[in-house]
Amino acid sequence: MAIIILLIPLALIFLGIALWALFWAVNRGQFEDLDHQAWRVVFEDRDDD
Amino acid sequence: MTMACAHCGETAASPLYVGNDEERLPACCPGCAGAMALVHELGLDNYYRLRTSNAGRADQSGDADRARGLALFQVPELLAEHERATVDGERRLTLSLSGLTCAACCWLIEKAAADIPGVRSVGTDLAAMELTLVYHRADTPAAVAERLWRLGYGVTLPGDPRGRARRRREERRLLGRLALAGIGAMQAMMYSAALYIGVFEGSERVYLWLFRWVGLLVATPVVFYAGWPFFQGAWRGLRARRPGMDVPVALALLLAWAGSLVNMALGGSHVYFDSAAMFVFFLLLSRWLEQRQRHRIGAAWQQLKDALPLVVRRCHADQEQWVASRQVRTGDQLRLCQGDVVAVDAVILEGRGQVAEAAVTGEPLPQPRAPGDAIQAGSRLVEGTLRVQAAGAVDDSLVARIADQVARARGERLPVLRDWHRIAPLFTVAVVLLAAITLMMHWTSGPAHAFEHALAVLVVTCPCALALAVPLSVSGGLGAALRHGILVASPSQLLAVNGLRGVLFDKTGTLTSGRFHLTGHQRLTAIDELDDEALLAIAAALERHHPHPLARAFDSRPFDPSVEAVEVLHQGARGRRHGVFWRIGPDPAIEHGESLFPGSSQLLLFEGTRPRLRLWLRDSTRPEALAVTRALRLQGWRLRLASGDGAEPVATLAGELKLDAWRARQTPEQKGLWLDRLTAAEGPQMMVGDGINDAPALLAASVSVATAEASGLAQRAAGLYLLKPGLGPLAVLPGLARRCRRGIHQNLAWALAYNLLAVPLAVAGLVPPWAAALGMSASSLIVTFNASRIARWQSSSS
Repeated sequence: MAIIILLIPLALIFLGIALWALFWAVNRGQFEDLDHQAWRVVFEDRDDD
Repeated sequence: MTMACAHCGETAASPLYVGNDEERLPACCPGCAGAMALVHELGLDNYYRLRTSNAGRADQSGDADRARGLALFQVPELLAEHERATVDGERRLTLSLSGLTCAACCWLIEKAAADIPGVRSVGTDLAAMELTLVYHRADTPAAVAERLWRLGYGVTLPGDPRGRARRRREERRLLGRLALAGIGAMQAMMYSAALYIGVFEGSERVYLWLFRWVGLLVATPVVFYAGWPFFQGAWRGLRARRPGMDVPVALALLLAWAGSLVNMALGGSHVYFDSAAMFVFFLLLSRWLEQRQRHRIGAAWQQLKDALPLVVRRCHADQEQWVASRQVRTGDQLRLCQGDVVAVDAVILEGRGQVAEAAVTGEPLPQPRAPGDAIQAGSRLVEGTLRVQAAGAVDDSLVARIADQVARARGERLPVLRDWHRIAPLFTVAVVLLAAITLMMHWTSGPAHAFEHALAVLVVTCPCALALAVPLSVSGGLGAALRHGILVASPSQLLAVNGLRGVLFDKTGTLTSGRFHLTGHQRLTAIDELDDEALLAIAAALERHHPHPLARAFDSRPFDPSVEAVEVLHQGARGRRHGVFWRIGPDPAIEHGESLFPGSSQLLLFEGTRPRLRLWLRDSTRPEALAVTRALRLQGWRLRLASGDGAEPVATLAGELKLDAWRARQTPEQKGLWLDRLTAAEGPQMMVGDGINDAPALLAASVSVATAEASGLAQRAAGLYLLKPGLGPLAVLPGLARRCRRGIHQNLAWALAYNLLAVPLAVAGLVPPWAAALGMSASSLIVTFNASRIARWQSSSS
């Protein structure tokens, strides 16, 4: 059980990183155009042929 | 030979060919051909392989069109309002795009704009139809706009940039709060689950403490950052002495958080961090859904307001200059070219022309105007060149005032919602009183217990489900309507569809499209080397590029390629074929009405001065009109037709569509009166119309629908309007309204039943707070889910 003392703070650190990444993404408008960005990777691939 | 245009997919009656020797592709018009050639030149042919839907027709090749479309980039002060400086000393500009059809368009635009000198980066947003440009040369925006124009996309400045930026900030903040609440609530729930299950009974107390502290750590930002809007709302309500539903919410949040802290300090048995976090998450979820809906409708309204041009040609001492329309003052002289939309009410000083007032009055055929005549803002100069004097500023015009009134009408609230706002303060007081009574009732069994029960009452009675039942269902209905092509300006009218007894239609522009087609032709000379088809092809060649609505009847017909040097005349057009002049135009000798085809307009084709062919053209009945009227009749509604047109065409149309009754030569007042009488005799009526002459009837009707091409005044008077040309969406309206009503009833019944059941139990002290939070969340969730089912509603007929 003692391992929990280490694991829970570790989980909290990961939670903090995840939240930071999420806010970073929201503030850069990553959730605003979900249709077009999903296709982008397809276009760039074909571009190289 | 007829084939599909390789760019836009429309039928190309006489295709132009683009491409190299290996591959030659057909195009329907010079615009599309130019766009295809440019795509090829830029090495972006992949666009045609990647796109999932055809491009819009790039029919914008005329020099005048291009000059007008790009004119706003000639006015630096207009651009300056929209530009922002970036940290690197460059400039950022957001532009509105039109003509985007799929994600491949975004790719094409980004690639095509990227190598223009001065462009640092280009980003497109398909959902918002926007282009964000970062650049460092003053002439870059104009160059980008020019290239996109050639590709067939329209580029303009977005209206209301500050409002848009504010909406975007609000959206992002709420999304961030929602995400934090969601993640935090799940974490808090995870740690509490361990406490509830009793994993730590018998083990060391240090673990119990650890889990509680972690719960506090996770829940605190959720309550105070994500839940901040509720505290703000409660404080605002209290200060204004109008406590809304935010007050019990904030109270419950504060009590749950502070109470848990006190319990932790005093060594009490329970903490409620998870309940508080969950509570915030579900409330934010519904708020977020509502905000998205509101902003989407707001964007659709915005397009309406952008009907007037942003720039005009102002003449000053023989000099002509593009200026922002807002700078026009009474008395300024402006020049209007063919195709221009008038930005201000004005009087003609010089020149003659045909003016289409369809946007203002609903009259489909352009009217001739001469010096001294007034023209209204929003009308379009179909043919000719005019010099006019402004009779007022942009904001003084009828169209601008309508736009303003439309904006104000947006603030109108649902009657059901208004009732709720009146009840909310009473409800709040009752809930707080109930909690206080509970606290006193259970005081004898110890303060900790009493506090727990009072908290359960607050949480359980949280009015979310009850408060959300109606607005969420309605907003779900509005979403479903939007997907089916109906914009709902007045939600109560959507619900009123359920009680309708009949429908009154307007004719021109509503049941008919306002687009003309050939109904017949007659040779005026004996048989010679030119047969009927050859004569029609000559007429089509002359009319092909004519801006008059009658000329559109020839668009899809084969034309004679040997006709050259076609010029647009004041009335009609003229061209040369094998050295002989041919002319087409109205026949001045023949009076309207005494023709073979009643209700049709006539044109004459001349070879030199000799009349060769007479043509009749008629406004076409919309192809879907029959199916739609049949669907509406199945509802048991009586269908009627009221038109300002003559008896003959009105009777013909009513017979075609098997309508119950019709009236011709109706003035706007008569239409309104007839509707009033029908309402008194039969019950609620729906009015469907498009013109200014339908406005009185639209205002008198219980449900009013304006078509997509309707004039501004008709749209203002209407409660619902169709977003796409055609009547198709009308057929789904009854089913949608029924679904919406059923959703509201289900939600209200559920929320009421839940509260009636849970409150007595909570007051009696039989509901622990965690169960109360679970029940409250579940009831809100069910209401939200049920409303989202309405939003996903699909018409079985489509």
